[in-house]
Amino acid sequence: MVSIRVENLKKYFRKVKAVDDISFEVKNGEFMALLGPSGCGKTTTLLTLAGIYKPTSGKIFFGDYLVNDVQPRDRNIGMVFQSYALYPHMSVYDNISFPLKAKGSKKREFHDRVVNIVEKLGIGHLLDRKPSEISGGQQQRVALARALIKEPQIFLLDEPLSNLDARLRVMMRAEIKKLQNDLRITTVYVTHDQVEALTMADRIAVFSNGKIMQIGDPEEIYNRPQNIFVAQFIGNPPMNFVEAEIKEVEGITFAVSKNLKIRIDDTLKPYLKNLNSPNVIVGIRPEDIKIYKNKELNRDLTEGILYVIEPLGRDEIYNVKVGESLLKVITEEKLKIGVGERVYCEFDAKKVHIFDRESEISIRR
Amino acid sequence: MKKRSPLFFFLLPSVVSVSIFFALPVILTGVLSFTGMDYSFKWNFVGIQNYIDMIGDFMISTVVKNTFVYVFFTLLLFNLGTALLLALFTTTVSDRAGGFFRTIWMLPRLTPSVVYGLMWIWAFDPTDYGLVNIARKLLFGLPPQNWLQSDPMLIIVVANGFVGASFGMILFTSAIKSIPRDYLYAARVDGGSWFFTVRKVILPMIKWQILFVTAYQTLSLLTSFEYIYIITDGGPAFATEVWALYTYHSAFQDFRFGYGAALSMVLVGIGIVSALFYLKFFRFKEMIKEPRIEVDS
Repeated sequence: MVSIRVENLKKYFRKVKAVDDISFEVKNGEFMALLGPSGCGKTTTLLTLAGIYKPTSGKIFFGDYLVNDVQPRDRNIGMVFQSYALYPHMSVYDNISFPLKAKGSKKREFHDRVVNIVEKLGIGHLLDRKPSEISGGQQQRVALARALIKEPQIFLLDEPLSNLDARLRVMMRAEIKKLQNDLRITTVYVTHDQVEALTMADRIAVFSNGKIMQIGDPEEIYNRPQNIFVAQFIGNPPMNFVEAEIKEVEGITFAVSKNLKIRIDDTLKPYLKNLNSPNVIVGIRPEDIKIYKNKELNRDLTEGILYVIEPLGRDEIYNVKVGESLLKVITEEKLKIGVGERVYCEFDAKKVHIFDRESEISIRR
Repeated sequence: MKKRSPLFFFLLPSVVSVSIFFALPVILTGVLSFTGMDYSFKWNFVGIQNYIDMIGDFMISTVVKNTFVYVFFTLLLFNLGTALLLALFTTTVSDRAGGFFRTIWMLPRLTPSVVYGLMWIWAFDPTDYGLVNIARKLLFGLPPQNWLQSDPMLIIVVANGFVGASFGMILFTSAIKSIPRDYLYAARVDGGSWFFTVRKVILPMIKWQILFVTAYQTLSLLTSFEYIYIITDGGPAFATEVWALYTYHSAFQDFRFGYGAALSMVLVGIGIVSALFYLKFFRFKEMIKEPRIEVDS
């Protein structure tokens, strides 16, 4: 096991800056997710860690060891690809033992190891089959076995679950997490799926346009997004955003827009000095808005019209039109309100996120 | 009948042209092979006499041996071997360098065969002015050698090979380039030398193209003789007289059209047999078998 340190990594393809000056660290045994939309540079970063791509500049350390010029096969990594990349002309057994054979091991030397790992992954009965003769979930396990058979010090996964159907994906998510937990192997996991990142990773690096927007554990990423990109990328349904202006009325600070007035909690006030101008974007998660049928006294309520309801089984998403903007509110409560009726929203002042409108950076940086 | 007429109409042009230019010549040659036609152009049928003559022809053993050597080595060393190496190397280096080298190897194919043949004659010219002899003198200080006398078959194989290699090269290159990159990445991460990756991953994945080039090039080498005709004309002393050239010589030099026809019918037979052999050997049917549809459990 080993830690990974990336310093000022850049990877350009001609003029395209696929990875643009990123630095991060993955601790020994840690599960790190690289999360971002497609084309954000996360897979390029992974392939550079694997040694498939050479960095344009910057340094990659495994432990204290600079690996920039080390060949992929000498980096002692196990890798799982989105396509699984199982060799179609080889049996499952030959696929799994390929990394050992490539290193010149003989069958009698590695047979026990193959048997061991296939038992662990529950694919022992498939050894004679060709990859085309087994299901997607089974192919996934074979790919995991092939990556782990040589007991690598680093485990790299590139969107390993995106080719599976939804039900299987949820299952494999837990299984991979368990596997990583058991083996305590330093893992870098590339995904565009925020749920995968949040549920599996110890820490998440959120990518956009070749840069890292934020690194932190899932709780931090979710509750303290440092910029609008992270705030809108993480969370489903996504955070609500409203353009507003910071104003003081009778000693109380508000974020005010045409139709909205949100009180700023005292805990947030000290951060307001980070603003260059009173122009802000206020972000509030759908679960941090409470919705009322009737106007209740002594509460700071904002009036809106119910636009549409999206039932999710356990929860319901209420879309509320406040002035020009549409707010999404998620709640377990089943309110008997019809579309087009008047409703009242209450914002949880402690959970409000405030971003500078110019820089799109959170005031709580 | 009314329904079929448009079909017939659309097929007509190709049916007519295939009949005139492919089927008819084969039939004519077949019929001709049972005649003793000579410069008098008379269809005097002699039964299978031509084929019997072939067995007694003292040239046949030389021609068979030459043909085998010529086809086998040109195919193995150049049309497959060099083609494969070129494809592997030019896909390993940068796209630009790879494209440049492939273009160079295409040049012989773009050159008219007579010009190309004459260039080889000049290269191996027995005097001081031949390219190879100039190089020999400069590098080793050795006197000129008459290459076309001493190693005619080598020259024939090399000359044909340099043209032939580009065909396989282009096919193998596109086949290698169409291998999904994940397979190659996986192989690089999983270790193993370049050679190991080539043997275990790349070659099995371009098996179909290798079969095709082998079969196709065997047939075209069996029937090709224009470079041999230009460079050595089968000489010296029949050292490079291959079956196709012998057929040509019999028919158009000795004016034994009947015998020439019989020789070419045998060549057609050999071609069919070797094609069938390749299909069997590479288990062609298995390769074109429909893949099983992947179903998630």
